[in-house]
Amino acid sequence: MFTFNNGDLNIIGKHNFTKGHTIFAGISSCYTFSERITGKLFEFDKAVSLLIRAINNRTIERNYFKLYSELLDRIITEDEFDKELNEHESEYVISNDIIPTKEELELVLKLIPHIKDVTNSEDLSSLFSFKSNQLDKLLLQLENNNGDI
Amino acid sequence: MATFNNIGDTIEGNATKGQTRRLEFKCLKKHPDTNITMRLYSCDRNSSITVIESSPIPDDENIKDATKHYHRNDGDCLTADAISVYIDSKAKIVPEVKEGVSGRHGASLFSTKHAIATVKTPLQNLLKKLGYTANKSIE
Repeated sequence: MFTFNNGDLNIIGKHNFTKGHTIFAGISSCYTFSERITGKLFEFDKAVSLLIRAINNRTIERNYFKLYSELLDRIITEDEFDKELNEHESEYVISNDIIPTKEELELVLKLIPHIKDVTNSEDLSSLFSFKSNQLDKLLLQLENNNGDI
Repeated sequence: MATFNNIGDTIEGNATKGQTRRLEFKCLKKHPDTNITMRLYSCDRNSSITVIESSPIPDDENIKDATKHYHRNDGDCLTADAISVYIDSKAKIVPEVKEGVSGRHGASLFSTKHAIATVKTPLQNLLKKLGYTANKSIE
Protein backbone atom coordinates (compact mmCIF):
# COMPACT_ATOMS: atom_id res chain seq x y z
CA MET A 1 0.00 0.00 0.00
CA PHE A 2 1.22 3.54 -0.57
CA THR A 3 -0.08 7.03 -0.09
CA PHE A 4 1.00 10.29 -1.71
CA ASN A 5 -0.14 13.60 -0.24
CA ASN A 6 1.16 17.03 -1.10
CA GLY A 7 -1.91 19.20 -0.70
CA ASP A 8 -2.67 19.47 -4.41
CA LEU A 9 -2.59 15.75 -5.10
CA ASN A 10 -3.73 12.97 -2.75
CA ILE A 11 -3.47 9.34 -3.84
CA ILE A 12 -3.79 5.97 -2.14
CA GLY A 13 -2.78 2.83 -3.98
CA LYS A 14 -1.47 -0.70 -3.94
CA HIS A 15 1.23 -2.39 -6.03
CA ASN A 16 0.56 -5.92 -7.19
CA PHE A 17 3.97 -7.17 -8.21
CA THR A 18 2.64 -10.63 -9.06
CA LYS A 19 0.26 -9.28 -11.65
CA GLY A 20 2.54 -6.37 -12.53
CA HIS A 21 0.13 -3.52 -12.01
CA THR A 22 -0.75 -0.76 -9.55
CA ILE A 23 -4.28 0.18 -8.50
CA PHE A 24 -4.82 3.69 -7.17
CA ALA A 25 -7.51 6.21 -6.37
CA GLY A 26 -7.29 9.81 -5.33
CA ILE A 27 -8.27 13.45 -5.68
CA SER A 28 -6.34 16.43 -7.04
CA SER A 29 -6.85 20.06 -8.04
CA CYS A 30 -7.64 20.72 -11.69
CA TYR A 31 -4.76 20.04 -14.12
CA THR A 32 -2.37 18.84 -11.36
CA PHE A 33 -3.11 15.16 -12.03
CA SER A 34 -2.62 15.34 -15.82
CA GLU A 35 0.50 17.47 -15.34
CA ARG A 36 1.99 14.88 -13.01
CA ILE A 37 1.07 11.93 -15.22
CA THR A 38 2.18 13.45 -18.54
CA GLY A 39 5.06 15.48 -17.08
CA LYS A 40 3.74 18.33 -19.18
CA LEU A 41 2.77 21.60 -17.55
CA PHE A 42 -0.58 23.04 -18.56
CA GLU A 43 1.32 26.20 -19.38
CA PHE A 44 4.04 24.30 -21.25
CA ASP A 45 2.79 24.92 -24.78
CA LYS A 46 2.18 28.60 -24.07
CA ALA A 47 5.65 29.00 -22.52
CA VAL A 48 7.29 27.36 -25.53
CA SER A 49 5.41 29.64 -27.92
CA LEU A 50 6.42 32.75 -25.92
CA LEU A 51 10.06 31.68 -25.75
CA ILE A 52 10.18 31.00 -29.49
CA ARG A 53 8.87 34.53 -30.05
CA ALA A 54 11.53 35.88 -27.67
CA ILE A 55 14.35 34.00 -29.42
CA ASN A 56 13.19 35.28 -32.81
CA ASN A 57 13.08 38.85 -31.52
CA ARG A 58 16.61 38.54 -30.14
CA THR A 59 17.65 37.28 -33.60
CA ILE A 60 16.01 40.33 -35.19
CA GLU A 61 17.99 42.58 -32.83
CA ARG A 62 21.17 40.69 -33.65
CA ASN A 63 20.49 40.99 -37.40
CA TYR A 64 20.32 44.76 -37.05
CA PHE A 65 23.61 44.89 -35.13
CA LYS A 66 25.27 42.70 -37.76
CA LEU A 67 24.04 44.94 -40.57
CA TYR A 68 25.10 48.08 -38.68
CA SER A 69 28.56 46.66 -38.07
CA GLU A 70 28.85 45.94 -41.81
CA LEU A 71 28.08 49.61 -42.39
CA LEU A 72 30.70 50.71 -39.84
CA ASP A 73 33.27 48.35 -41.40
CA ARG A 74 32.37 49.81 -44.82
CA ILE A 75 31.43 46.40 -46.17
CA ILE A 76 28.18 48.01 -47.33
CA THR A 77 27.35 51.63 -48.18
CA GLU A 78 24.78 53.74 -46.39
CA ASP A 79 22.44 53.40 -49.38
CA GLU A 80 22.77 49.61 -49.29
CA PHE A 81 22.13 49.71 -45.52
CA ASP A 82 18.93 51.76 -45.99
CA LYS A 83 17.79 49.59 -48.89
CA GLU A 84 18.25 46.38 -46.89
CA LEU A 85 16.27 47.82 -43.95
CA ASN A 86 13.43 49.01 -46.19
CA GLU A 87 13.17 45.81 -48.24
CA HIS A 88 13.45 43.34 -45.35
CA GLU A 89 11.91 45.24 -42.47
CA SER A 90 10.66 42.13 -40.68
CA GLU A 91 14.26 40.85 -40.36
CA TYR A 92 15.48 43.98 -38.58
CA VAL A 93 12.56 45.74 -36.87
CA ILE A 94 10.86 44.56 -33.67
CA SER A 95 7.08 44.71 -33.82
CA ASN A 96 4.99 45.38 -30.75
CA ASP A 97 1.40 44.75 -31.61
CA ILE A 98 0.41 41.93 -29.27
CA ILE A 99 -1.80 42.78 -26.29
CA PRO A 100 -0.88 40.27 -23.55
CA THR A 101 -3.58 38.36 -21.70
CA LYS A 102 -3.48 38.11 -17.94
CA GLU A 103 -2.34 34.45 -18.22
CA GLU A 104 0.45 35.34 -20.66
CA LEU A 105 1.64 38.16 -18.42
CA GLU A 106 1.73 35.91 -15.33
CA LEU A 107 3.67 33.27 -17.27
CA VAL A 108 6.10 35.84 -18.64
CA LEU A 109 6.75 37.26 -15.16
CA LYS A 110 7.76 33.76 -14.05
CA LEU A 111 10.15 33.44 -16.98
CA ILE A 112 11.92 36.81 -16.99
CA PRO A 113 13.93 36.45 -13.73
CA HIS A 114 15.76 33.70 -15.66
CA ILE A 115 16.30 35.76 -18.85
CA LYS A 116 19.17 38.22 -19.24
CA ASP A 117 18.78 41.94 -19.97
CA VAL A 118 15.13 42.44 -19.06
CA THR A 119 15.16 45.37 -16.64
CA ASN A 120 12.06 47.38 -17.52
CA SER A 121 8.72 47.03 -19.26
CA GLU A 122 10.11 48.23 -22.61
CA ASP A 123 12.61 45.32 -22.57
CA LEU A 124 9.70 42.99 -21.82
CA SER A 125 7.73 44.50 -24.69
CA SER A 126 10.67 44.11 -27.11
CA LEU A 127 11.28 40.51 -26.08
CA PHE A 128 7.72 39.27 -26.52
CA SER A 129 6.35 41.83 -29.03
CA PHE A 130 3.85 43.09 -26.45
CA LYS A 131 2.26 46.50 -27.05
CA SER A 132 4.29 48.51 -24.55
CA ASN A 133 1.67 51.03 -23.39
CA GLN A 134 -0.89 48.24 -22.73
CA LEU A 135 1.80 46.31 -20.87
CA ASP A 136 2.49 49.23 -18.52
CA LYS A 137 -1.23 49.48 -17.68
CA LEU A 138 -1.43 45.76 -16.88
CA LEU A 139 1.73 45.85 -14.75
CA LEU A 140 0.34 48.80 -12.81
CA GLN A 141 -2.91 46.87 -12.18
CA LEU A 142 -0.90 43.86 -11.04
CA GLU A 143 1.15 45.97 -8.65
CA ASN A 144 -1.86 47.80 -7.21
CA ASN A 145 -3.89 44.61 -6.78
CA ASN A 146 -0.92 42.68 -5.37
CA GLY A 147 -0.60 40.16 -8.16
CA ASP A 148 -4.14 40.11 -9.43
CA ILE A 149 -5.64 41.81 -12.46
CA MET B 1 6.96 73.72 -18.95
CA ALA B 2 6.42 70.93 -16.40
CA THR B 3 8.06 67.81 -14.99
CA PHE B 4 6.43 64.40 -15.23
CA ASN B 5 7.43 61.14 -13.56
CA ASN B 6 4.47 58.76 -13.68
CA ILE B 7 4.63 55.51 -15.65
CA GLY B 8 3.28 56.17 -19.15
CA ASP B 9 4.04 59.92 -19.12
CA THR B 10 5.40 60.82 -22.55
CA ILE B 11 7.12 63.80 -24.12
CA GLU B 12 7.77 64.45 -27.78
CA GLY B 13 10.11 67.04 -29.22
CA ASN B 14 11.86 67.94 -32.46
CA ALA B 15 14.94 68.31 -30.26
CA THR B 16 15.54 66.98 -26.75
CA LYS B 17 18.32 66.94 -24.19
CA GLY B 18 18.80 64.16 -21.67
CA GLN B 19 20.85 62.95 -18.78
CA THR B 20 21.19 59.39 -17.49
CA ARG B 21 23.61 57.08 -15.70
CA ARG B 22 23.66 54.86 -18.76
CA LEU B 23 22.23 55.33 -22.27
CA GLU B 24 21.92 52.04 -24.12
CA PHE B 25 20.90 51.40 -27.71
CA LYS B 26 18.36 48.55 -27.76
CA CYS B 27 16.94 47.88 -31.20
CA LEU B 28 15.05 49.14 -34.21
CA LYS B 29 11.37 49.12 -33.26
CA LYS B 30 8.03 50.45 -34.39
CA HIS B 31 6.72 53.04 -31.97
CA PRO B 32 3.49 51.68 -30.42
CA ASP B 33 1.50 54.90 -30.94
CA THR B 34 2.79 56.26 -34.26
CA ASN B 35 3.86 52.93 -35.85
CA ILE B 36 6.96 54.67 -37.22
CA THR B 37 10.19 52.67 -37.19
CA MET B 38 12.61 54.40 -34.83
CA ARG B 39 15.76 53.59 -32.91
CA LEU B 40 15.00 52.62 -29.31
CA TYR B 41 17.35 53.68 -26.53
CA SER B 42 16.99 52.97 -22.84
CA CYS B 43 17.91 55.26 -19.96
CA ASP B 44 18.40 53.70 -16.57
CA ARG B 45 18.65 55.19 -13.06
CA ASN B 46 18.22 58.88 -12.28
CA SER B 47 17.36 59.82 -15.84
CA SER B 48 15.76 62.92 -17.20
CA ILE B 49 14.93 64.16 -20.68
CA THR B 50 13.65 67.61 -21.66
CA VAL B 51 11.99 69.05 -24.75
CA ILE B 52 14.28 71.72 -26.22
CA GLU B 53 12.30 72.32 -29.38
CA SER B 54 8.61 71.49 -29.41
CA SER B 55 7.07 69.35 -32.13
CA PRO B 56 3.76 70.09 -33.81
CA ILE B 57 0.61 68.04 -33.25
CA PRO B 58 0.43 65.38 -36.00
CA ASP B 59 -1.94 65.88 -38.95
CA ASP B 60 -2.95 62.22 -39.20
CA GLU B 61 -6.16 61.84 -37.16
CA ASN B 62 -5.31 58.32 -35.90
CA ILE B 63 -1.85 59.35 -34.72
CA LYS B 64 -3.24 62.60 -33.28
CA ASP B 65 -5.72 60.58 -31.24
CA ALA B 66 -3.14 58.01 -30.11
CA THR B 67 -0.72 60.76 -29.00
CA LYS B 68 -3.15 63.23 -27.44
CA HIS B 69 -1.64 62.62 -23.98
CA TYR B 70 1.87 63.60 -25.12
CA HIS B 71 3.54 66.67 -23.60
CA ARG B 72 5.12 68.76 -26.35
CA ASN B 73 5.92 72.15 -24.83
CA ASP B 74 9.43 73.57 -24.56
CA GLY B 75 10.82 72.64 -21.16
CA ASP B 76 8.50 69.67 -20.56
CA CYS B 77 10.61 67.09 -18.80
CA LEU B 78 10.49 63.45 -17.73
CA THR B 79 12.39 62.16 -14.71
CA ALA B 80 12.46 58.46 -13.80
CA ASP B 81 14.58 55.37 -13.21
CA ALA B 82 13.51 53.83 -16.53
CA ILE B 83 12.86 55.91 -19.61
CA SER B 84 12.58 54.59 -23.15
CA VAL B 85 13.59 57.02 -25.88
CA TYR B 86 12.54 56.42 -29.47
CA ILE B 87 14.78 58.50 -31.72
CA ASP B 88 14.26 59.43 -35.35
CA SER B 89 17.90 59.44 -36.36
CA LYS B 90 20.10 57.09 -38.36
CA ALA B 91 23.27 58.19 -36.61
CA LYS B 92 24.06 56.49 -33.33
CA ILE B 93 23.66 58.74 -30.31
CA VAL B 94 27.01 59.08 -28.55
CA PRO B 95 26.59 60.52 -25.06
CA GLU B 96 29.10 62.81 -23.40
CA VAL B 97 30.22 61.32 -20.09
CA LYS B 98 30.59 63.91 -17.37
CA GLU B 99 31.94 63.03 -13.93
CA GLY B 100 30.65 64.46 -10.66
CA VAL B 101 27.20 65.48 -11.89
CA SER B 102 25.67 64.28 -8.64
CA GLY B 103 27.52 64.06 -5.34
CA ARG B 104 28.71 60.54 -6.04
CA HIS B 105 28.11 59.64 -9.64
CA GLY B 106 28.83 60.87 -13.14
CA ALA B 107 26.27 60.96 -15.92
CA SER B 108 25.90 60.56 -19.65
CA LEU B 109 24.56 63.67 -21.34
CA PHE B 110 22.94 63.39 -24.74
CA SER B 111 20.90 65.36 -27.25
CA THR B 112 18.61 64.14 -29.96
CA LYS B 113 16.64 65.37 -32.92
CA HIS B 114 13.02 64.22 -33.12
CA ALA B 115 12.36 61.87 -30.20
CA ILE B 116 9.52 60.37 -28.18
CA ALA B 117 10.36 59.45 -24.59
CA THR B 118 8.18 57.56 -22.11
CA VAL B 119 8.51 56.66 -18.44
CA LYS B 120 8.51 52.85 -18.19
CA THR B 121 8.02 50.35 -15.37
CA PRO B 122 11.29 49.21 -13.79
CA LEU B 123 10.91 45.50 -13.16
CA GLN B 124 13.35 44.67 -10.36
CA ASN B 125 11.24 45.88 -7.43
CA LEU B 126 7.94 44.86 -9.02
CA LEU B 127 9.12 41.27 -9.46
CA LYS B 128 10.35 41.15 -5.85
CA LYS B 129 7.04 42.55 -4.61
CA LEU B 130 5.04 39.97 -6.57
CA GLY B 131 7.36 37.12 -5.55
CA TYR B 132 8.89 36.36 -8.94
CA THR B 133 12.61 35.82 -8.45
CA ALA B 134 15.39 33.85 -10.10
CA ASN B 135 15.61 31.70 -6.97
CA LYS B 136 12.14 30.35 -7.63
CA SER B 137 11.99 27.50 -10.12
CA ILE B 138 9.58 27.77 -13.03
CA GLU B 139 6.47 25.75 -12.08
